[in-house]
Amino acid sequence: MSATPHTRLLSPEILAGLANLELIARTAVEGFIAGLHRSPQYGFSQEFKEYRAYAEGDDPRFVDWNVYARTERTYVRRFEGETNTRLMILLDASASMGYGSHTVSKLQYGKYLAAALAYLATRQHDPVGLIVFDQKVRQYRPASRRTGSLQAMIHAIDAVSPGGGTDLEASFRSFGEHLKGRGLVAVISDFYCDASSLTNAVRPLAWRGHDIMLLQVLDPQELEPSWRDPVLLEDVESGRQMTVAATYLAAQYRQRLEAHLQQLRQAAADTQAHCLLVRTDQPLDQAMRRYLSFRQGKA
Amino acid sequence: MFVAPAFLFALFAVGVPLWLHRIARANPTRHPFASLMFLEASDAERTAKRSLRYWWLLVVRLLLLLALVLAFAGPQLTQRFAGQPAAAGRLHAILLDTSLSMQYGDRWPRAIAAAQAVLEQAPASDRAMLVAGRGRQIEVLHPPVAVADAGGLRAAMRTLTPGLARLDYGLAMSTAEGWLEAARRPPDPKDTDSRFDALTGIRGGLSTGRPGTGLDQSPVVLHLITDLQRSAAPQRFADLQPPAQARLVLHDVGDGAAGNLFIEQAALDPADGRSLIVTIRAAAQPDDGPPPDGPTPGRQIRQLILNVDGKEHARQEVSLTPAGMDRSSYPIGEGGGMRSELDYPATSLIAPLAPMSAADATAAAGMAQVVFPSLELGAGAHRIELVLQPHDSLPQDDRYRAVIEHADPRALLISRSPDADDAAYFSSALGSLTAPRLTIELQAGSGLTAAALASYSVLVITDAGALSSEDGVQIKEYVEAGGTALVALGGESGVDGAAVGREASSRIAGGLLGEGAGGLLEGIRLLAVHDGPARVGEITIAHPVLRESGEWHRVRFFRRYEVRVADRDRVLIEYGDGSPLLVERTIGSGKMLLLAAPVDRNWNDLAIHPSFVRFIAEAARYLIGPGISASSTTVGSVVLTGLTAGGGGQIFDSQGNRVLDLAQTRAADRLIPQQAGFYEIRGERGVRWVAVNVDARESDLARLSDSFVQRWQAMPLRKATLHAVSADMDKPSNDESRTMSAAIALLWLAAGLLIAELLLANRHLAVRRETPQ
Repeated sequence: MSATPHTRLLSPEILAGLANLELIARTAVEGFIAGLHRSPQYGFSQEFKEYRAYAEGDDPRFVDWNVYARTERTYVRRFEGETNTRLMILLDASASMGYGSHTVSKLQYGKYLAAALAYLATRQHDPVGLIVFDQKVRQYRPASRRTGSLQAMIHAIDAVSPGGGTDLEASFRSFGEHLKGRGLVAVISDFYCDASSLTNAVRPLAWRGHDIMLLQVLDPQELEPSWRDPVLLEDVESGRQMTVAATYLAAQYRQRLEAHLQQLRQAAADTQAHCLLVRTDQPLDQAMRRYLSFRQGKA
Repeated sequence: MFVAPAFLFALFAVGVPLWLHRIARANPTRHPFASLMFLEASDAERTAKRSLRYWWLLVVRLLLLLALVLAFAGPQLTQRFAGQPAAAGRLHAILLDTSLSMQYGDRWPRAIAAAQAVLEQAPASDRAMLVAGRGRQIEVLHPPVAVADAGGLRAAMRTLTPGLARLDYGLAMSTAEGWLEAARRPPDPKDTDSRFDALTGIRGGLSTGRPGTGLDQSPVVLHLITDLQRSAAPQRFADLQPPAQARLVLHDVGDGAAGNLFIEQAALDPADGRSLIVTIRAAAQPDDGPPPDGPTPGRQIRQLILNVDGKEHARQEVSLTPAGMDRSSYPIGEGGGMRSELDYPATSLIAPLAPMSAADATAAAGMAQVVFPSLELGAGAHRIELVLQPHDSLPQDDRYRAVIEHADPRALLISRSPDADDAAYFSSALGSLTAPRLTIELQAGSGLTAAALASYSVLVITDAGALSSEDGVQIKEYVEAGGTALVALGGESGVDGAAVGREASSRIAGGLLGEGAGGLLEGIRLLAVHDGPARVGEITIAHPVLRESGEWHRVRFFRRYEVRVADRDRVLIEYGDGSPLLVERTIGSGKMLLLAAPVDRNWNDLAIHPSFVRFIAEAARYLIGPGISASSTTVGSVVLTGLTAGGGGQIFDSQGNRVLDLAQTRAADRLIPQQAGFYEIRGERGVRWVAVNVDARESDLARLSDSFVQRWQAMPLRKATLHAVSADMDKPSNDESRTMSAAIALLWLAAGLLIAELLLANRHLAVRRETPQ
């Protein structure tokens, strides 16, 4: 059974019309995986690789009872590509993430993305955790491999609402208290901060052996402002207002934004992190594809 | 200057867009944005651009309101502001005389050539229009067009032919301002009739509309191409004054002296009503002597043929010498005493001249009278046509038509009894009358009605005492309405002695006395009855009834009434003692003869006397009248059809073609004949013939004198009216009182501003729609 392209590439607007975030995550991920089965570039499968002695915390479903009958030892089956990659999702819930020029705001898109990654990781039997932050850590859920924890996490993601300002450095300093082992850290934010602040925030995590993936979520209106008239703009975080010329938005603003993005990419590269810009009007595939490739490379 | 200045109060509405724009500027729309991290404020640029655009929108809205308000207020621009008309060329109005006289000789080809010359000599930038004048109608045959594009006008000119009507120069000049204005106004697509009624000022069937609207104001040259016929001059010289906005140019296409023989009139001899007197005239140049280059007209001999109902009835030879028309007998003059055609309606033509025998046909200077005696025509209408042969150069006036109505009179004999002696006497006497021959009906007793009596020409009452009072009222109404009556008093046998009382008078005069209510014999008193012989005294022999009344003196009276009449009564015969015997009274439109004696052999021997028959016959003829009339009318005059009073009908022209369409058959109350001949009017009351002749004034081909023409051309122009431009052909108008409405232009401006406002406002709205939420 093959998925149609449009199913795999469900737009954020369509996903927004679904009942709940779990369904959104499942729909996005299943469609994405079905598309992967048709693709020769990705070897995502469940092929058997090796046996490993059972350890506490392993899912009993994967115990090979035939081996146990023969050897009276408990082994669990391990599959191709399966590693114990801990995924920690850091979701920015600042006020700037609440901006959106169309149906889906940046925070909503980030929530879809976080839920989809969590679902995907759970499907890979990876433990998944969640940290919601703005100026500080607002919510923390430790990484867990259990299936039941996924629903709780999705509910937690669903309950996130835009908050105050953003302070990446302070937030990332707090993350060190919660990120014990090495793992994969996916940061979902709009990264309205200086490149140096980002470097300062990410570098401690990198030093601690975390693989960091920065998912920068931006609205199309932020990337390509469409105003053809001078416009009065209000910062959703600070409330500050500013009248901006259309010509500035069409030229200087884009240049400055592009420079900023370039600096962010450079800062990410300096810290061995991977930076990916995603638009809120695009499907979630790109982020998930980047996640899987990144995971495979680390596995 | 505004037509409706009250609308200017709506200018206060300009405050609405001002207020709206102020609100819009004070409340700019804010848009949330994720971060102002990469933004810079640009207040100066924003304010400048946005303000500029809003100012344009505000200006457009204000102008739109201003244009609408001014359009409804109706500003009137004076000539100074309206500017001069774009067309600098002149308008050549070619008025072609299409009257009957233009058919003489080669006048019409010369007129066409003159019109062509006008077009050829006019500059190409000028314009020209073609107008035909005949009768009461000035018909614009072709509207103004550029001279360079006058092909249609030339074609219309070639198809034009002169008619039979008469052109009155005064009428053409006095109405020129109206038809010039009507022709120069932009054409109304609903108006398909280009005729202009010179009397009513109505163009076609529609009103000329509001004067001055879109009027072409280029100067006008009015070319009158005519034969300058003297009889076309108006009664008043002032009527020839050219219109205010035009310069008059006369083109004489006449050919100098032009002799013409024509039938002027045909009428019945009033003496006997049976002889037809025909007046023939020979017209030539009266004042200017013999023409310098034309032959002197000599004595002319023609045959005058009388046709009755399409068949030749008689023929006579006429010989006469052309001479100048006698102004006293035929009032044609250069502004002196000529009557317009409206003074010549369809008239009963009774010749005012003394009767002449055929052998005595007079050949006076320029005039001859021919008598066709004793036309024994039966009852009813007869079409008579007089034809002069051979024809001359103007054959249309060599024919004259008339309709002779020969009545068939009826007499009603009212007596006490059909077998009474007096009834027999009167009936026998009336029956002996041959001209007119009476149809006698006898009625005894009462039951008369005025409506029934109206069909009788005369009532003969042999015994007034036989009538009731109701009969008396009906008879009086009949006489007042134009009827006639011959009344004889009754022979009351019971009356004896000197005095006649009220009761006896009623028995003698019956219901006619009506002293209380005013009867036919009101004011006549029966004083007494005298026994004993009496003779007739004074007789008014001048009265038509008593022209041969010598026998009355031999009538013997054995008894007689003594009667006293009113002062208004005329006593025609008296007894020897002065008592009235025969009295004439006029009542309303009718008249009555009262014989104050009964026709009874016990009272007198009048009935057996020879003078009785003669008296009754003459009295009946006198009361009935001649009973015959001849009538005719002229081309272009108004004839009442009488169709609207009845159930409608149809009119056939002289060619037998229907004149009325279906919608007009019940609404055509008048006819303006355009052809000469007999028109047949078929209505509910039968067939009526109308004889139509050409206007005799058109037959006088004499030309206006040079001095007259010079005085005409030297006349000052009429005073300019409100709508007329100055008559000065060389100077631009300085009359600033003339105005033109700018409302239409303002409405167009408002429409353009509305479109601009929509575009500008939509641009603002489009920006707002694209704003992210």
